[in-house]
Amino acid sequence: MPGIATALAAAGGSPQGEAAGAAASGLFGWLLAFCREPGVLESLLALLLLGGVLWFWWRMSRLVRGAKSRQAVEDYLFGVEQALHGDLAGARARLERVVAADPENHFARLLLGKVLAELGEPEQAHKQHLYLQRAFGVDSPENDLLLAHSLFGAGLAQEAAAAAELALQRLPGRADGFAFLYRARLQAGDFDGAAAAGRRMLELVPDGPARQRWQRDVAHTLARDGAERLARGDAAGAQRALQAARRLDPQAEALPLLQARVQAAERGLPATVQALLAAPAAGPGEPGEGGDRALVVAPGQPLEAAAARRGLPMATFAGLVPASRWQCRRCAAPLAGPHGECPRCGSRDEPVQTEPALVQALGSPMHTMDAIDANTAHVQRLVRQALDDPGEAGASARLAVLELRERAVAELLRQAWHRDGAGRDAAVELLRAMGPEIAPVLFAASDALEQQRVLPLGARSPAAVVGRVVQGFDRAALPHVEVLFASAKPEHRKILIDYFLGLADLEAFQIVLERFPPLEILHRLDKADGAVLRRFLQAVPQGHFVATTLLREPAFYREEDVLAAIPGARHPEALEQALLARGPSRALTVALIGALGDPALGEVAARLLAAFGEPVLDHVLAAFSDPERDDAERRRLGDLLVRGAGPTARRLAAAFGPEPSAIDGELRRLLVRIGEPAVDPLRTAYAQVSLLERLAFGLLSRHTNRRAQIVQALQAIGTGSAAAALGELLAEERDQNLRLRLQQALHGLPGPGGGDG
Amino acid sequence: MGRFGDAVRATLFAPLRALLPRNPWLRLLVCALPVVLLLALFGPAVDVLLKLVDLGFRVLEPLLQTTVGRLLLLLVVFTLGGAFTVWLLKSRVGALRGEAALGRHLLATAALVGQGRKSRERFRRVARYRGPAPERYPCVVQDANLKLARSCLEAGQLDEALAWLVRVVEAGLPRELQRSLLQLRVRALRLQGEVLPATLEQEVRGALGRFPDDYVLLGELRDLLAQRADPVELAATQELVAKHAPPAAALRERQRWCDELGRAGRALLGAGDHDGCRRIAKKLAHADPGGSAGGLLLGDLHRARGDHRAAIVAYGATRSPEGLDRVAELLAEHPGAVEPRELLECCPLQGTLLLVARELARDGDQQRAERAARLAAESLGPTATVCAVLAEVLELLGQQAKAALLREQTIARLLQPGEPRAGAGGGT
Repeated sequence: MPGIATALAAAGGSPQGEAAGAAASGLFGWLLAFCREPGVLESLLALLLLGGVLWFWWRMSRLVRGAKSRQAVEDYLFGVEQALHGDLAGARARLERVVAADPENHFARLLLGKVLAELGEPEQAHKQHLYLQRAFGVDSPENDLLLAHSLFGAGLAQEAAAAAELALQRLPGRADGFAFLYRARLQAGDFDGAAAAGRRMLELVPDGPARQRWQRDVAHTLARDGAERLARGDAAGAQRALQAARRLDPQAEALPLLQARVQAAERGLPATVQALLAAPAAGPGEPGEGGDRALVVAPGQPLEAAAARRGLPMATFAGLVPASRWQCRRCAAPLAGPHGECPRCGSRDEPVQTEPALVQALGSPMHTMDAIDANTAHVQRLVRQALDDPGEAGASARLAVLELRERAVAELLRQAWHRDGAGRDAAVELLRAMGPEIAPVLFAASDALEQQRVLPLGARSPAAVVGRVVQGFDRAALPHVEVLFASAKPEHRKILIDYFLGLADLEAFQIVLERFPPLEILHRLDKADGAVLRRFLQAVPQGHFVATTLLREPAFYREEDVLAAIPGARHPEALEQALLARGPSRALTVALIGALGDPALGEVAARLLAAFGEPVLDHVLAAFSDPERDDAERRRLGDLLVRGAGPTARRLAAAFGPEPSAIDGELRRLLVRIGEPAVDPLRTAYAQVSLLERLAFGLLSRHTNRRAQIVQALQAIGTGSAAAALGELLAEERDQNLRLRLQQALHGLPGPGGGDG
Repeated sequence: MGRFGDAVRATLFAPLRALLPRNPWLRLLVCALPVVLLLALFGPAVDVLLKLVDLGFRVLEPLLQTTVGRLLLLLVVFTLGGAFTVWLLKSRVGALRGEAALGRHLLATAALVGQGRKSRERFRRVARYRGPAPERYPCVVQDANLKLARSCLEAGQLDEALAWLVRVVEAGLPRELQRSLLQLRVRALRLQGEVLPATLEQEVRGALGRFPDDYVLLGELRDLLAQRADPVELAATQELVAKHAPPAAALRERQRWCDELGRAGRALLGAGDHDGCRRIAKKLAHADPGGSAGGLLLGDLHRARGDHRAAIVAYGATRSPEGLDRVAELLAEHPGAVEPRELLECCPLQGTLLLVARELARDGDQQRAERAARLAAESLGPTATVCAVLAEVLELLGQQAKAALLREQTIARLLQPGEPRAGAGGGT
């Protein structure tokens, strides 16, 4: 001990050192002195040993206490091992038992969540991780990462990525964590975020095959990110993404398209397209000029070469289109087939086809091939569809039929011949739409059909249909039609007449008048379409043979069409005269009365009816009394009736029924409008006694509605002769009621005779 | 003899044990009392004892005079006392050590996730433990060895992993740990790469003999067979892998099974084993009922046999783009192998219209080719493939300008920034 004190004293050479040494020597000296006291060192050693024993005991007891606090240790440790070696069912059973017995065993719960996720129950796994995070307050990034995994497994990629990102802030060195984040971002369609996570992951992954695989993957994602940036208008961002992707994997499949798009954005689309077309063809794996891969856009790729390059035998845009026909629904990664999960983002959604229409089923291969061959079956099918289908398919079929033109004429004519109504009209319209050039084919088809007829009845002749068709043609068809003049076939004669009728050219029609007998022409006039006939009649001039002779023939039955042609006719008076000359036939009268409500024909009809006079009064009165006619029409009818004067008044007076009706007032007003000429017919009608009254010998009352209405009408007329008539009727009348009415009427008359009875 | 002696002793001392108190100290006292009484009766013997005590004091006295001596004495006393205490509580100390090892093992296990280094250190300490095994988990050391081996494998330290695995005593190992041991050993040996393949395969098959449903072991066998390039056996193994895969991996393994079956079928086809290929095709159709692989393989088989019509029927029945590509390939190899009408009937897809158009164009049937091309364009739309084939058709028909224009429009469409990459095409 003195040796130590000496050494300490020697160490302090300087005054400060001496002072410090003195202080130190003082402390050591005191310690030495203290230790020299008997029992001090022994006590210290004993304390030290005791402390060591106690510390050891404390450590041991802590371990033991920790071990004993764990329940179901065997289940726990075996469960952990099972989870590690992949016996997931066994691990689940054991760990669930452990967690049930020892809810505080957080690691068992954590592992249970992991096992559940691998067993395909991410929702249950999420529950366990959530318990740890929230219920037990376990602040573990590992648990957070596993929670993100369970969210990912449950299909919530966006939420999983957010949770993983938070967890990875505390685990910055976890390559597998960033790989997961990369997948989650990809699956969520966030290529930008995925590219960032991928780059971070690449910093952590050591060199090797796995890193190269990841590099290719991230390069693809960067290319996709670049394409999206370009679509948003961020050309600079796209360029950066392109360069980054090229650095990672210059052979990435998605690079050529992005490069071309970037170039198109920089240099313009046409220049880029031309450059691509001019580039020498090379396979997707072959380096092109300047280290970039040339695009295979040239035609005629040898099949073997394409197959060797994993290209598509049918596509020649390799480089711009993916080599795969399938792609991931989430991350758009090219996939090998329609099943399985995406190797990039892990999505299990069904992949989408890049060109799904290619493998859609044909409706009918036979029909399709018929369409390619454009054979008879196809034409028949097309014509039927064009005529039967009012929808979009029918419209396209009609267009196709029009394109077929001559090839479809025979079938169209056959259909028009066999059909009625709308079907025939549609076929005729289609044939007309084909133009006059089809005329020779049309006539030939008509002849062929004619020969097929078993019973050549005129009403069912195909020539009638052909006639309707040619009526829609203009003068351009004349050269085709003129050849029919040389034909002796009656069907051809009909077609000729119909054609010239359709032309509505009276000068050209002259040739028909010269060559065909009037009766034959009349037949065609009677059978012509209404529109065609009206168009023809509107062209008839005053004094023409058609107007003066043909239209006045009794065998001409189309008076209503003549009437309908008047408004647009160049010479309406010719048609009016023809009608007047024909007289008021029942059909014409009905047509005239019907035309009264027509703004265009009303005047003409009224004029003609007025001209026809008394023969049409009964029809006019019947029409007037029809309650379903509107007021304007009735007013016109009334005017016509008023013009009839006496004869009209006779009919009106006889028109009052035995009981009052709604029409009585109207009739009475007409009589009033007729005025003086109506007085005599009214008085006569009043005096008329019905057969029943005669046979009853006065037992039946004479006080009928008819007489009452006549009295009222006479009173309303109110002229002197009307008053005189009333007076005479009063003098002769014996029925008290009627007398009273007559007296009232006389009393109500205005003027000097009125009011004094 | 020993057993007999024990039985006799137990029989003789049974009444005595029944009379003795249960407290060990009292029991010692009761046992020591006759001895003390006997010694008291014999004075010389007591004197000898006293002399011995005196001798002891004489030896100790000089030591007690100096500090160093007292310290030495203190150490001796503590050591002897401790040893005596340990000897007295031998069984309890053993149990305590075992529990302590178990506690350390549990701590290491809990640190498995997220605290790899700490976990490994704790497992190493457990692995060094040679004391009595804890009652609640006797295989704690083996378990620690396995955990360390697994950890080393994950870190790529193969030799160290093998070292830990070799230390595992297999006798009496629970089934759960046996399975891990076999898995780890197989994987370590395979990754290490210096074991002969036959030995390794024998090892895997042996392990599978004990755990035939083990997904990991089956996967190891699959990987082993993949190196040996026996596609049929590989497909059969992959079938087992897919069968026993956990749900999370089932889809992936099933897809791989289908892929392996396809490879096996093509290998058999290449080797001329048509019957085997047909069997594989059937199996493939069963394995992947909604997929096209089975049909494609069947089509390949027909194609190899020269039955082009049947091949096209099989390809077309898949209704897949791959099938359509195969038909295109077949027609390119054998132009005019089937009539266009027959082609459409065999493969009734809209995409077949393109092939019909191309076939007709190759035959120089201009009108029909144009009509087919038009039908295809109308029904398929201006996708990339459609435009490419139609451009080819136009070229075959001698309409070079139109073909170039179509190609140009297609590329222009593909280069539009907003245009989706796949399926895009040019104008018609």
